[in-house]
Amino acid sequence: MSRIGSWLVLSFRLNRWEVLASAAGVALLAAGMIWFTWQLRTLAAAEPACLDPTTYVVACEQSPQAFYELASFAEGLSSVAWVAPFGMGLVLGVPLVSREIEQRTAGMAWALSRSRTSWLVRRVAFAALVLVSLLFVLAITSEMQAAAQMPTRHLDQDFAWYGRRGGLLVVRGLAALGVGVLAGALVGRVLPALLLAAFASVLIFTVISLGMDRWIEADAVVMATGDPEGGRYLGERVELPSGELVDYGELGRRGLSIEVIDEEDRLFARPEDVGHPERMIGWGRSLIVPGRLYPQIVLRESAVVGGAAVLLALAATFVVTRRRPG
Amino acid sequence: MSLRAWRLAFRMQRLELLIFVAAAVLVTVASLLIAWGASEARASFDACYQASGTDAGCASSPSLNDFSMWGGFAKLGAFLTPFALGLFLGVPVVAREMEERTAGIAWTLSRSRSRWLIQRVLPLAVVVIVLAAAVGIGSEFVTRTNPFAELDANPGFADHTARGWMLPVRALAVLLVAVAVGAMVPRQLPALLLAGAVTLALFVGLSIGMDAWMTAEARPMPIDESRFGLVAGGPRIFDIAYRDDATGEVITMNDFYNRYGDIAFPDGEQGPEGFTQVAIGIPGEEYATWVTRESAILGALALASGALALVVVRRRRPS
Repeated sequence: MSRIGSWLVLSFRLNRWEVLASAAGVALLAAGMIWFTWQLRTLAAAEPACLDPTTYVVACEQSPQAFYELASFAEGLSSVAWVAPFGMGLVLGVPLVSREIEQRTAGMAWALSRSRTSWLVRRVAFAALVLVSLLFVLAITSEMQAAAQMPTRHLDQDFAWYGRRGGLLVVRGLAALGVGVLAGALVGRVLPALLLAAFASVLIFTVISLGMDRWIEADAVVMATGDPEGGRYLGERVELPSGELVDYGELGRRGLSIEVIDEEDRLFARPEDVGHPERMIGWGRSLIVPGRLYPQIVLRESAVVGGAAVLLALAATFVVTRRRPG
Repeated sequence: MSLRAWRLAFRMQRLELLIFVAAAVLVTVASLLIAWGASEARASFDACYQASGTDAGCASSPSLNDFSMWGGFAKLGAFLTPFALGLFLGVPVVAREMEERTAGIAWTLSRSRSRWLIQRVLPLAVVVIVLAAAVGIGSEFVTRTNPFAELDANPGFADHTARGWMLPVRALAVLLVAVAVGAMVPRQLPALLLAGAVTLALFVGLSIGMDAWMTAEARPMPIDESRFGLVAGGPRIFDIAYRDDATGEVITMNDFYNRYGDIAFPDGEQGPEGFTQVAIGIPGEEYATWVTRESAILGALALASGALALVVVRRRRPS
């Protein structure tokens, strides 16, 4: 058997339960998504004019019902696709080092290898290969399902289902793998490491998400309140008559509170102020990142999350080269 | 059980226990602080509202929305607590001994395998109950001080899966299911994944079954549109219907629409003349009865899982 073949076989044997569980989960999820895609496309093809939300067709009062009911079930699967990279990354990453330490085989494995680093690289490379392959399948099927569910939208320029479809799933999975490997190397026991890695993942990805929101705020545009189709909604703001844009927290801190909003989104403190523009507090506005920036923002987040994955991998390598094997 | 056996049981899972004790303390303290803050903010808001007759200028800082959001996080933590506690503490009891090939020694040193298992599980069961109860109490306060409801006296079914004594009962059931799965699958991580899937299936099934049972016993309740919802006292509402004032017949909204069509709603907004809108559900006062019923089912599940774990441990090879 070639070196690559023996590496694949050995790596699979060491992690076969986790690999099989992940593969089974992805197979089920992908099959579900493909089935929903097929059903939704069939329904949409039957009466294409009925699914355009921008037009009203009299004959369409009942027919989209089945489509939207099915679409709401399909949305559940997309939520699973959102969680899958984190779950799979941790399940594949945590036991790589921690199980060897827990079962007291790390010493032997490290002694037999040229170096601890090369041992870790071989182990992580296999897990990453499995993870990327499986998440790639999920990334494609989730894109297909999203396109079938929103047939009138251009999803390559649309923030709908952000983080639940496309390449971001793969990058997030790799970062979760890094968290798992690092936690496993630090703790040296499988289940406590999994717990710690889960808490750390929530923390790290929340920080990244909040940070990204702050970063892309610079690209946001101020719009009248309403549904910004395709855009990424970042929050409500108040545009003061001076032109200053403040959030509702800041408004409260300035001692201002809003009682009435008129049909032109003008904000007033009291009902009797309506009709007196000079007493207006400001205009209600939404902060929106336009949909055309979707590829750019995905690329940015991928770079940040990918960078975090590299840092985590380096930290795991550092821990493995320094720690005692038991 | 001797003190030594308790100490040993804790030492075997000290890392998981340490993490869970820290997390439970964090969630409980956070819940109590959120409940206290929400209660203060709501009191100040209500006083301002009553004094001025309007909520203009009554914004509290942090706002009631913030407390509602933080309360939501606390309740999510409380909802997940029984599952995390049960799975992570239950699975390794047997699975880790077998994975590390120490089961043979441990079982030989004990008077019997059953005794060994009971000595391992009992201290964990106590810890699980205590931690889940602490989180349940914290979450109970969060629900009772919900800034957008009047639940302080009787929360009824509000957040019933994330507060109160359902949490320790659920945690105990999940713990014993996880012990049984861990005894059957001798590797920790695969056992954890399987136990998670089994637990999910069991609780989804239980939830569907309980909903069907409650729907069968649901009855019409008068609607008293209060400031915070259709019916006060935290009822579990399954449907809205119309009661014929003359005959007392209750007709669901769908049936009503099919029978009378749009004509019954002349202005499209008001209820039809001669009918009174009612909610179909279980009143909040019956919360304790239903929680007792669900607890009994979970208790039976826990006993069955414990018995299964005992049978598996007594019969299986130690590797």
